Amino acid sequence: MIDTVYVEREVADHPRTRQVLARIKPQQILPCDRYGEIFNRHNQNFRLQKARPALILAAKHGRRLLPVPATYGLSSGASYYFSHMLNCLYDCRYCFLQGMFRSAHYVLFVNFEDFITDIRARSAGSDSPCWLFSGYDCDSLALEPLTRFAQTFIPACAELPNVWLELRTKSTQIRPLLSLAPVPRCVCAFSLSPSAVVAGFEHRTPSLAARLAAIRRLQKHGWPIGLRFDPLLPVADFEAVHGAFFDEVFASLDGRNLHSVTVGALRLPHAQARTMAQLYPDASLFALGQREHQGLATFGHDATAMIDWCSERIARHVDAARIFRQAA
Amino acid sequence: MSTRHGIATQLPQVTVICALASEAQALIAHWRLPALRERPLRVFGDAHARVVISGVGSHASAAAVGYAAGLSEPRDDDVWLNLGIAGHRSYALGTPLLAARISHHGRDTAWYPSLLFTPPCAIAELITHDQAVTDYPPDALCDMEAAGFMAATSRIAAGDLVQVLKVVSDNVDHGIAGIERTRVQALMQNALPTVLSLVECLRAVASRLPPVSDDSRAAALLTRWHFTYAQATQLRQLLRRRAVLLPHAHDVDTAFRDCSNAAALLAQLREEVDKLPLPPVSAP
Repeated sequence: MIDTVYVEREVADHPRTRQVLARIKPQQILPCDRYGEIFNRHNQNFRLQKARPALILAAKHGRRLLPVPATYGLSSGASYYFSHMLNCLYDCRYCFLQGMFRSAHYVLFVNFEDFITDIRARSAGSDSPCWLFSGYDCDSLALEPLTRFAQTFIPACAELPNVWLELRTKSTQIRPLLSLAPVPRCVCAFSLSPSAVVAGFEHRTPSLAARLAAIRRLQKHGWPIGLRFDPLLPVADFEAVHGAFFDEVFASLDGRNLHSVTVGALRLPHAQARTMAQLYPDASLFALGQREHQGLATFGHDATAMIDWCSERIARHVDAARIFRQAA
Repeated sequence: MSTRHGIATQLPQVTVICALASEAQALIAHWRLPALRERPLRVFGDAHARVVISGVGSHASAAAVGYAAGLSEPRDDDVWLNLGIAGHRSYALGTPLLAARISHHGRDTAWYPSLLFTPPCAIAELITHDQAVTDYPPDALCDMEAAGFMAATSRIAAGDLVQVLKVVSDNVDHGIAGIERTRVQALMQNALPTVLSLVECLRAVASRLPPVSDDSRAAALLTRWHFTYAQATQLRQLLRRRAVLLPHAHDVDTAFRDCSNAAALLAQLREEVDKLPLPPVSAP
């Protein structure tokens, strides 16, 4: 799957570097000084690299916990996101990472212990909830067999009584979670879309049926579950497609036993939307008419109307207080 | 086919920069490339490839990249290759090596050509020197051009379609004194299958780029009304969006023939395209 691995000299002897290399057994291992030499250089093509991304093993310096954007999150308390990885195994056509990063190579920051030190420092001295979101710049679980991210961070966060952790994923890599005792303050949040959207726009991801099966197992095991209907895409026959979709989801899952549900339309900073349209001029999504909404580009249908309609349908199955509308 | 500076604008897809004619001869002969220019640099080429003889040194290589780039309109799928000989402490003479990290001796900058394919040969670090070296580093190729080539291509080419391939011409057992033209020609001839394989790998990577949009849809409209440059760009963008969202739609030429001018056409076309929904996608 990954043929080429670049390794920052600083982490060449890090135990996690050795473990990852032992799991991958890449054809090429190349030293580098800083991951930015490869990841941030000009004139790269995300689309070309996505077909065969390399892995870069690096150390994360500087600020490791960042405040979440104002339109992201579930509570008014302190909320941060952090990225142990940059880029994702999947190839969702709408993903903002395509427009944000110059490179499609995966970057794995192996100094997990520094992230955990920062989390402890951030949560110390306060009783108020501190929300941590992973899966902003990557999928939280998709590369779990390689990274052991969840197996490392969940126990560490569970020790901190005011820390809430959200894992955001489309993955079905749930075996590590099933081997752990559920943590009430760790929410497994799954992004879900109608099967037609999965087939047309969420390349290389598990099917809707596979995701629902994984969620059912976690729900049964006692893990708090979040559902993320975000982004909604303005597909043809929107209401018919999404009506059938919500029926399928809530026939499969216990809607009364969910931690939270978020609903949001596709929205992108204009610069990222432009970059993505240049990368994929043949993609129907970026050929749609765009609207300006609070400084962001939205696509096709009236985003607010889509969110209203979906929220109403979801509220038939889920306590309305647990439904969070993402700005659009 | 229009031409610019005597070179066909039906672009060569692959540009190969070699310092010496002896490094290029096998490839030129294999591709049967006719000579296109003698001065200021020797250029051989056809519609699909061209080879430029840069002369020795990183500055010469960088200048050759700039010169070659100016010979035709750039395209996103242009492939660039620096091909030549290099020294290595331990690799046997004639070993082809793909450069995975390139730096200039004594400087901090490094380039990492993308490995988006299975390399057709072993890979190695490469250090460019200003003069020929005999004190080989422990595990790196030594040449005199690649850093200049990378510095120049990083400004004008798609970084994922740039590679450096070197054939070992000297090592601790066979020093630089033995390098002469016929030996270089023989080394490069033997490495030709690897070179051709690399070019095919790069062409395959380039083929994943989106196709260049067909301008024929816009051509008829551009001749009917007067368009400014900005309007022509908008027209092409709108037609491309329309073709993606309405792949089987009727021709714009007939649908909008009553528009009085370019601005009216663009307004009407934009109104139509902005309302188009996503085409239906089917569940698996």
